[in-house]
Amino acid sequence: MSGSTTNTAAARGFRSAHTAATQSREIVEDLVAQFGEDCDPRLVLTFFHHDADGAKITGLLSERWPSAQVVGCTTAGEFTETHAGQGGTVALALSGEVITNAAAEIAGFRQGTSDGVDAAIARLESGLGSKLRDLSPSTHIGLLMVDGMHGDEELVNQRLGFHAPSLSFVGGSSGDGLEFTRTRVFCNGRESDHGAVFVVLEARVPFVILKTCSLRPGPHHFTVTRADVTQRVVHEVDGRPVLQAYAEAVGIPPEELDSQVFMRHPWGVMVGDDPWVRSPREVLPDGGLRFFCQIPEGMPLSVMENTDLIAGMRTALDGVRADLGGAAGGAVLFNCILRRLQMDADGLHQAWLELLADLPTAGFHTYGESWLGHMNQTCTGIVFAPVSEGTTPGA
Amino acid sequence: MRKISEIRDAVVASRGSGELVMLSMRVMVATGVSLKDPKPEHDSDPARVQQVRKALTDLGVTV
Repeated sequence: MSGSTTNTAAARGFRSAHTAATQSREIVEDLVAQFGEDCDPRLVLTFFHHDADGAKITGLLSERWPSAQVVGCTTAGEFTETHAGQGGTVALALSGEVITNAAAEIAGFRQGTSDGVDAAIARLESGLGSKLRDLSPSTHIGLLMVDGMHGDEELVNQRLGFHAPSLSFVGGSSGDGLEFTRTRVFCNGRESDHGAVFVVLEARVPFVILKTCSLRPGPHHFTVTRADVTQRVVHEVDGRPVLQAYAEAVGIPPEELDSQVFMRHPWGVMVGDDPWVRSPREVLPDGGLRFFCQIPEGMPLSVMENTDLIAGMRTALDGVRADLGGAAGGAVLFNCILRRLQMDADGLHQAWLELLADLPTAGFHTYGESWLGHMNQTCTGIVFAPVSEGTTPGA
Repeated sequence: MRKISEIRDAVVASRGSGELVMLSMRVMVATGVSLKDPKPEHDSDPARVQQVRKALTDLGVTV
């Protein structure tokens, strides 16, 4: 092993690992060594630098554990419960004590996003021997990783809702270290730079969805009245030019709208008390405002205000632990790149790791998160309960 | 059906109340309009009703 490693927690059924190795074989050898000779995963999630040969990494891991599904993607930074950084590789292995069954498929979108999703879902259902809509959402959950450069996330989530309205798919958009040129997703040695990977798993332990953002609605609210939805551009809100209305809401001249303002004051669709955040991306020469998410005409939104990122994450983790009966066993987390940039600027990574201590975790910084739809500036993921005494690996 | 609440009742009749919660969340995320508990100003608004219908159609639900 030539790469430096980080010791990570190992709870029964969950093993996490990080390696700084850069060559595919060394990466895989390092991950396997950290997982241990006795590791027998049903699912391996791995997230890595955008220059990594993900097809080779996931392929070699599949050879090592042929009964496991091995999926992953490129990132804008990776983390476990003990390591946060960029340029390495992280992984989480879930054993048969956690998962009874897992199926994974890669979808290509070059011939059309809907057709690509539909074909992959058909293959998933064939592998599972069941329609997704017939699976119990109390025991089954989906994961997705979408390439982050083609703007397919809304349609992907819509098609997943079409196929399985009651089943949650949770995930993120792959990154490329803020280069915004090419991102990739991987499944058992196969890759796509214009597609997605879907996983459906049957859990043997309870699980809950974690979704948090360090934002709350402020006093200003808009309804979008003119938008180019597919281009993710808003032109007017409440019948007024969007830049004028937005600048007034945050108390600055329109020419001072920039990425710092966008990060502090994204927009949110309120679902009860919970915002689904849409983050502005850039001011356009024609006076439009481009977002990282689609916003249709007629959508009511609130201009958000920042709250404490670490306190919000602590509250979210305390909440999911309570929902799981007091303790968590392992987690996969998808954290927005905009939150990582805030964590970089405010020096919050150590505090973040302290929140995750002793919880085997793998996660990455995304170009957007998914759950029921596409959103920004959240940390969204799945947290599993610990494996209880007497649990034996599934058949 | 000219009201969102009428669409909601039709969804419950055809899909069951168990599916309503997730469907309503999906519609809410896509449109900002609640299917389960529509605001009074949304319930009879033709534009909102059309939004909800389209979102449901996209999810394979026709009413």
